[in-house]
Amino acid sequence: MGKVIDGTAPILTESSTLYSSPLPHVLILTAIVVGISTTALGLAIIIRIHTAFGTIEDDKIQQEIE
Amino acid sequence: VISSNLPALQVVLPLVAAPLCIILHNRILAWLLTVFVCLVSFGISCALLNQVLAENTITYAMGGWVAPWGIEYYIDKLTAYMLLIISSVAVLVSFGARESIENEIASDRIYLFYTTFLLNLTGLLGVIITGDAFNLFVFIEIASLSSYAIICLGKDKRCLYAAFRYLIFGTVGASFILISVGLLYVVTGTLNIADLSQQLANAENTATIKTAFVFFIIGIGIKAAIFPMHLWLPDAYTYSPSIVSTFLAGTTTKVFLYVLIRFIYSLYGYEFSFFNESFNYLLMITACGAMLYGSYQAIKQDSLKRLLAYSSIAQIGYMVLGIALITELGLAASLIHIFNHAFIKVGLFLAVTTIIYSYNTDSIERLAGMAKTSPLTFVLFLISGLSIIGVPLTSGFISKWYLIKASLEAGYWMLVPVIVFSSVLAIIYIGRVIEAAYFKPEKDSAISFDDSKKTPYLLFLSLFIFSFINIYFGIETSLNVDMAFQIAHELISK
Repeated sequence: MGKVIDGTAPILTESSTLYSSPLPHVLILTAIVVGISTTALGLAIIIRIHTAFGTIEDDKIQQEIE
Repeated sequence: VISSNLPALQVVLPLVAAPLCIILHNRILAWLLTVFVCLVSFGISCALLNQVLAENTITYAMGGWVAPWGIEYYIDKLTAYMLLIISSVAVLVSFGARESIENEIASDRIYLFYTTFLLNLTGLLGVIITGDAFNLFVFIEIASLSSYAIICLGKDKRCLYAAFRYLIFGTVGASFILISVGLLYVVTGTLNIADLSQQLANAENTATIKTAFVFFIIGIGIKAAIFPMHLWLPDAYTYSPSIVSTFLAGTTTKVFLYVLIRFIYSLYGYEFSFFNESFNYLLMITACGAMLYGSYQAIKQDSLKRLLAYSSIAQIGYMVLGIALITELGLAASLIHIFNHAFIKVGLFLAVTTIIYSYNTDSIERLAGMAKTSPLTFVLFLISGLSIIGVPLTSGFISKWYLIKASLEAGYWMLVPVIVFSSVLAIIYIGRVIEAAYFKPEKDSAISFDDSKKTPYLLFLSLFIFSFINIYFGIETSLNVDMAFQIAHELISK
């Protein structure tokens, strides 16, 4: 998506003026960071669910809640 | 220097204050800092509103990188209006939060409450103020992640399960939003919302653009709990600490409805959004479904917090209905209801917070006859309750009045019975609480008023202010109604 044919890496040098768009990489990196934080938080909640309920089986937790 | 950097300060200030709360590690200092930061945020949003009224729009290039390359903060009247709602709710809720928080959150975790609260505020304000589609996604995730974390702070272990469910739903929604932003970037090569709307107006109406639209609507629908994508909301509001439910009920869904309005009216333009696929009929049906389903479910609940959560789903239906009418009056009605409902629902939730503080329960059955022991709380609950029903002289009446007027003007007279019927159901669910509290005899097993606790003065004060706001905006409506009409006019005529 960001690749420009015959373009170089997006580094400012005097030897070339045609370069690929760096934006998609930035977006994907940010999305990965967001994804990792979400996963980390999700796993942290699962650990606390395990301490509180003694299980991570969905059926058993729902039974206990009701 | 300060006045020209206000848009950045609005977001950066709570963001910087959040880790400070961890460093302070003291619950009183963290609370003072939070209230102070919320107050300053409120001051900034008032100043921005003033500037916008004078200059119409403000743009701010983050870090000096000019749009469309850099991230731009874009403030028009709609932005300023929403900033004002969110920051004023934040000030009043944080002000009244301390007593209830010490009761409902383990004492070694209290400073973490203030941290996540400020992060959530950062996310919400950022979503409103940003003019960049990808930055919007990042702020949505800041707001969402901090709200998952803030929900699990409670002592009740069921809040963990509710938070996890919310996390799964929310992440699906966020991924859809990200896919949509990605597709839009492929088509137009830009992420700036103002630039995007220009490019889209010239672009061919391809399947990619339509797909991006659908992904976005579904994603934001999950986040804003638009019926039938509301499944995470009742549990999240019921099991989280009451102050958390209060803040989330007043802010989160409103902000995501704002994003919906932004996308439909500013980014895609309503001609695209509505006329191509008759999308507005779909929204109208879901809105009617929400009003009937939410109010009906609310009647069946015994837990006050769950009752209010279902009532929120119904009220979101009213707001969506206004958006779906595609008229100036309809959009204005929706904006007025976003404003009024933020204060009504926070008022109701704060009353419930006070009840839980005193009795350690929110079961309607167990609260029978309790209006005698704490008359003031129930009177204030009643005021906000009347407002959500839509009794004249309360703010709820104003928004329902404009919504009914808008439906008639747009020619959808069959919507009026639905709106009225949903309000009748609201009389029943608020009436059940009032009946139990005032007219039923106290039970033998009834929980007694917990005398050991001091009266929560700050909580009462904040609750009192919300009740006052509910009546004030039922009588003197020049601030929100005029503003909403101006915004609607600008968005529709664009």
